[in-house]
Amino acid sequence: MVALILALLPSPAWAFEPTPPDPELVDEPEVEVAPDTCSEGPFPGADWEPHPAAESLDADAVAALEAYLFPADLDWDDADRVGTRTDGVVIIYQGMLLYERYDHGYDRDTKHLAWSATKSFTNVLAGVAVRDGLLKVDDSICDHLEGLPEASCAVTVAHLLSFGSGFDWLETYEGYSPRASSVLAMLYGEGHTDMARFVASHPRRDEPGATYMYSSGDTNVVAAVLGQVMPATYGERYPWSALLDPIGMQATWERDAAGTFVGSSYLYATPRHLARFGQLLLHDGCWEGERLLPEGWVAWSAEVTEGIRTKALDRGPGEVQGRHFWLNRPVPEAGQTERPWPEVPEDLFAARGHWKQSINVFPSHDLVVVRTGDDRDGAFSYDRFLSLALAVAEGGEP
Amino acid sequence: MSPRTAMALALLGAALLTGCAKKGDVRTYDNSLFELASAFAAKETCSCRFVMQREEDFCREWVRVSPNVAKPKVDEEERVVTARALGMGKATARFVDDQLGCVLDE
Repeated sequence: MVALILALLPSPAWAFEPTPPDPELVDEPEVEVAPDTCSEGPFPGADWEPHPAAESLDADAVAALEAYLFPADLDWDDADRVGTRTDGVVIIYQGMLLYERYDHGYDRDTKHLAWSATKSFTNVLAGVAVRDGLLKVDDSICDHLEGLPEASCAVTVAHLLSFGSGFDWLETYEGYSPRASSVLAMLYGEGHTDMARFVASHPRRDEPGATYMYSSGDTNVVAAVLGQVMPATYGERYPWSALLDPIGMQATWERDAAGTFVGSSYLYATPRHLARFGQLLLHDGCWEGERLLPEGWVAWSAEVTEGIRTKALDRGPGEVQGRHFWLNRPVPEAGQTERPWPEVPEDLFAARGHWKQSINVFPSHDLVVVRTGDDRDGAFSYDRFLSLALAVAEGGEP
Repeated sequence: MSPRTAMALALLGAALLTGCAKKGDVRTYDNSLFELASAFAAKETCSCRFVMQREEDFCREWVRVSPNVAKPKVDEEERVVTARALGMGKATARFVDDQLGCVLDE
């Protein structure tokens, strides 16, 4: 549906080679069209208001969700750390707090590491910069960063946002030779003092824009570009002044030794505060009637990119990316014939991180679901979790 | 040497050997496993203690990896965490403030 909206609108002036909509993907009128004007909300003020239905939720739906997310027989002291290990879950329905629960010593005031869900925040900061005219998505990274190898100057911000830089990168954490991991070298090894420069110094594997390969490195080059264009307007702490303060979100966002925010990995916030970010996206980048993101930015970010369609490298099962968001869209050209989470609506898009952090936005259902976790065994099912959460929300219809 | 240390050394040896065996066909970066392990333990322990504000036992488990050779030392007063892996690859992370969290030293 997002693709349909895009197809009907003129291309946004800031857009870079907008991808033509795939007819196979646009003619399933399964979900309602998200509002494309700035909504009045409700939005949370100092904190979320409780949803009127919060006291009368469908008990069976809640029990099923909790049985999956908070299994009664889970042993937090298990040395192998197997099982679904949920630290927190928050469901925001119709702009109000419908359900929340915490475990593992967390409570509503404990910040949790978002890991790669941070990447979607970097996308949104780039959107603010574009709105303000501080950045264009087809700017070369060399327009903003000095002293990079000449070969990297063909890379644009749009290439980075679609994980299409073409830098020769290996994104792996546990389970592979750690010394071969580009992401470990960036965060904890030779790259940690200036992550963007480390990334942009990699040899080229492919032409920029020709391929898709998920890379934390690409995100941190975007972060370094933002570090050049944002401070003149927003100060050194631009993530707060440009984005987090306007949506009332408290967060920690760590930097590298060069002062670049680690856009790939290091944002910390409580689930309630992470849900504010989801609510911003649910309302197409608007907050309390004010547009923080350019019109069409969220749709552009949540569309299947050309790289995913035609040449995705090392694509994991169900891995369908937009521009720094996870999508629930089939990509038949890439062999993804079913949507990644078949039990939930196709318009769902999400920020996701290691150990199963996620901020899930359901535009057709006026719903945001946040989950923080410590899952280490790879068995967690987003499809199951999200369908159970959706059932709780639908049972909460007043 | 405790059985646990012996086990860690054996695992580490195996990991290093695997690394060497693969070196021919897989690019590797300049850092040793000790340096990576120490930096991970220092940075993530610092953030766990001073950003997430979790207790020591929780954070020990949060940063545990296999082989778990890095030993972080927390200076609660200065909010600095220093880690070494089997005595090597010293890394230090410092808490800046509530917004900027922790940063690894250069």
